[in-house]
Amino acid sequence: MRYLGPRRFERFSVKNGTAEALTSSSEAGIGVRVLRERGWGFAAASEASLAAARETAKRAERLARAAEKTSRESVPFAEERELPRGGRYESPMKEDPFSVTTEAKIALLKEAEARLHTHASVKAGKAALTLWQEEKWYLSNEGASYRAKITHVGAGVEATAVGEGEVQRRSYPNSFGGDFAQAGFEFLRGLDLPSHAEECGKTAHALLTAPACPKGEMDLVLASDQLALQVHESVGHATELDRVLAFEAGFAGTSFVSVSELGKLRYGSPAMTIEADATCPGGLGTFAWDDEGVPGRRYPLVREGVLTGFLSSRETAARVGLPESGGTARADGWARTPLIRMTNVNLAPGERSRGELLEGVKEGVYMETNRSWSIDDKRLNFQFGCEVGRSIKNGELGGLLRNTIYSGMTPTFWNSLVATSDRSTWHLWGLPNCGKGQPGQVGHVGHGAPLGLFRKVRVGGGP
Amino acid sequence: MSPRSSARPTASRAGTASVGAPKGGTGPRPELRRGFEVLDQLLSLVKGQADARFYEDRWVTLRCANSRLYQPHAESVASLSLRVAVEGGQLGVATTTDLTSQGLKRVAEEATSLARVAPPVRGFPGFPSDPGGPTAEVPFAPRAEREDLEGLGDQLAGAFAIIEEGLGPSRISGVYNQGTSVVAVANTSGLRRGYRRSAAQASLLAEQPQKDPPVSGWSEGTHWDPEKVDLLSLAKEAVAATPRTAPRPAKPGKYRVLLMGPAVSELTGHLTWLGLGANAVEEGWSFLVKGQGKRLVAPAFELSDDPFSPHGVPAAVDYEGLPHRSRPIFRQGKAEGPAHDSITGARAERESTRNALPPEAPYGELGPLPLHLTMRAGDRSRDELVKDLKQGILVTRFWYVRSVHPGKTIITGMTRDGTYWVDKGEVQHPIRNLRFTESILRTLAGVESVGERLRGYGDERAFSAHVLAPIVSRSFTFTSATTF
Repeated sequence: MRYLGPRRFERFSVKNGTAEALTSSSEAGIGVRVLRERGWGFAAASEASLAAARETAKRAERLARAAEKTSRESVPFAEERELPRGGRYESPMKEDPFSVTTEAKIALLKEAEARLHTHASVKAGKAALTLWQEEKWYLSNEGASYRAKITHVGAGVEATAVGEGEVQRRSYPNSFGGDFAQAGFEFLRGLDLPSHAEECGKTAHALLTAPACPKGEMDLVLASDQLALQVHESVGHATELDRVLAFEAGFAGTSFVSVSELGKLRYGSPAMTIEADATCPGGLGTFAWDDEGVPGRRYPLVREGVLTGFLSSRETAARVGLPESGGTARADGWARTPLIRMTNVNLAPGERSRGELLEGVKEGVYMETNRSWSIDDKRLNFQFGCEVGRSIKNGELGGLLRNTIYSGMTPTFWNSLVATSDRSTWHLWGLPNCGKGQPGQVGHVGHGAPLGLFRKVRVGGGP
Repeated sequence: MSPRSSARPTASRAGTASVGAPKGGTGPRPELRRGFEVLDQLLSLVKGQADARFYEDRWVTLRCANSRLYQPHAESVASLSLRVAVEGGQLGVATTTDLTSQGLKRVAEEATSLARVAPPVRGFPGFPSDPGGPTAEVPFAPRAEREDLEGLGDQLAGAFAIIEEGLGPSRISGVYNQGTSVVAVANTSGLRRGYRRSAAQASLLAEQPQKDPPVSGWSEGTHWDPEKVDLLSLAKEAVAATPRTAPRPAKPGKYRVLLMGPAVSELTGHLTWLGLGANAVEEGWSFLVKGQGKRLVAPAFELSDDPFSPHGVPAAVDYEGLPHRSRPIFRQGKAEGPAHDSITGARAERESTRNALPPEAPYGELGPLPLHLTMRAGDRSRDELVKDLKQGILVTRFWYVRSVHPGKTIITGMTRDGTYWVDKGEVQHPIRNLRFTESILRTLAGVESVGERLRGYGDERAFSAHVLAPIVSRSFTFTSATTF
């Protein structure tokens, strides 16, 4: 199996009125993955010559032979009935982001960044945008072939306020770079960064003197952006079949979920339904075929609280007797081997409006926008911190809270889910920074989420 | 990840030493020749000021899972980055893997066109001229260039055998990375320096998932010489770290701790991002803003940035091409100033500390950082450290550590792969894993004793490698418990 570049990348960042980074990158190369009876081998080279391709293939073959020596067991590989034969896929977009002038991009960032500086306490304002475009040519000696041109874009602003012994950040539309989508420049224009920047500056300043997060067990409402990350860490990773089968134990970790629990494990409350959907328009996890030639698929991982599926590749699907791969094997470019990566792993919306969801809370805390996340290697014990918190009393949002933290154990937490809010509050977030693999790969994934109301969650206990 | 020490290597015992490109005379060393040829050609295409980097990496990664080799990987990648400056300090950066004449022309045009419309960088002093003096010779192990898959496979099989012999049936995972990297830097002010590094990095995880609760043990190491990353020794260490009896539940709370090297590497790694660089100081949130010159850590915890420690992966120049220097981070407990490159140094009216990172994304936004943190070794053996701990928790390793409050250097994470209760100066029994939420500086302020043995802990390509020893600290806060 072979992959080719090129990949284009632009990252423009304006900080405190100056260009923090203006980078334009282009790379190309070839990656060859070889499957022998009992082992895989992968090799990549940036030199795009026939001789280099041959040498790379030989290197991959040598590695596969080395792997074979350490195993007596055949590597199973699921048949795929829908392999592409000369397929083509191109990200839909209205405005090619690479055709927009650099001047226009910088002007947008400068305007947004300037508006972050609402108070002297805002020591750092930052506005940044990132564009990726990968042209991939996939071939396998099974006879599969396709070409894909996939474009991802994203942007965001961030204000950092510094006070007496306190540092607070506020971001829009999300932390760690903003929001991302498979789209053209129209997505970035639609974010309207300048109109939201001032609020970020004001909130960062206000957080410096806001009351600290209360401590104790109480009701918790998570905003869509934070709930998306909760899904990512405690459901998405936990249902990756390579983790479940311990192929990632040495680095990314394993999972508390076992194959025998499929169809049985009470993962969460009946309000919890989550599906993997590689067909979702605009998602970072949307594609026509994965890097094993499997079509992008849509299927449930958790239905009404019960575990119903795994994210799988052709090898892992075959290992556990699934009829086909879930189509989630993707590589971070030509120089990396495909791994199981989340596609768009989405939490289904419920029926309550945002107001109706809050009405269900007598006394609790609302949290929005991640600022810290940590979870154990089995995806059980987690602790998340958020940029912004608000008290909730009798269904009404109160004042700001700073340094908000909540923690818990995955099944207990998801079983405390009372309800999710309706479709109007659901948003498909793009996360372009999911680390996995050795050597390291950065995955682009999507998560759709509404707001969620959870009972008796441990909050507080932070700085 | 993280590193530090004071001994400077001389010529490599393993053979070739890497070195910069002398001006005039003999010309660059053969391993750097291709890089400087490309950079010279590239810089000739730029009108105005520029600096450029040539990278050439050849690495192999042998990954193990479920007690066999899994997803072995090899790569050969050559690339370059070009940073162009036009009037008033407007900077643009472009990178490529296309090293043909056409590719170089394209990247020169791209960087220049970005620079022309870039908002100016405040205080840009121009690219540094060569400071004179030689480029330090750093050790290089030619064996790192050889992909001896058979030999490495035998070593892995030997490591597996040691683990199974020591523990019985086990699930073994791990990784072995080995390779070489060339870094050559040139600019239009006449600076031309570079070096070649070799490195190996490995980790082994021995697990017994069939036990209730499951138990596991971990070991890791990084060194410029693959011979010093001995998989058989690492296997013995992983066995030693693995509990033989069922871990008992432990209660959250404040405890004295003995943090082994891998756990210390999480502290130094996060400390780097949480305040040791000039960007964090400029933005006002680094602990150095108010802490510089003050006693922040225990005098027993001496930390420097030492790019030449023979226990790590030495690096001769930074990514602006300036020859590296060692400098203290904490001396007698007092914090020294932040890391600078020539740009942040000019703004702070300081010299560059020669800690420039590559200007291209994602590094460019981080600003200068020390990549070679190195502790001063103490005089305590492992057994003596356990005695020093008296009563408390021995932590082999932390996991999924994240910042909770940058200004206060508070981080959170889990213990993993060998956590033990110590009482009366002896290891009593393994305990189940705990989540911690604690300030790095508070932990380091409580350091009472330091291990005698330094070891390198680095990332998979040894971009950064810290040289560290275990520590005993008087207080550490664990905030929740687990059932495993």
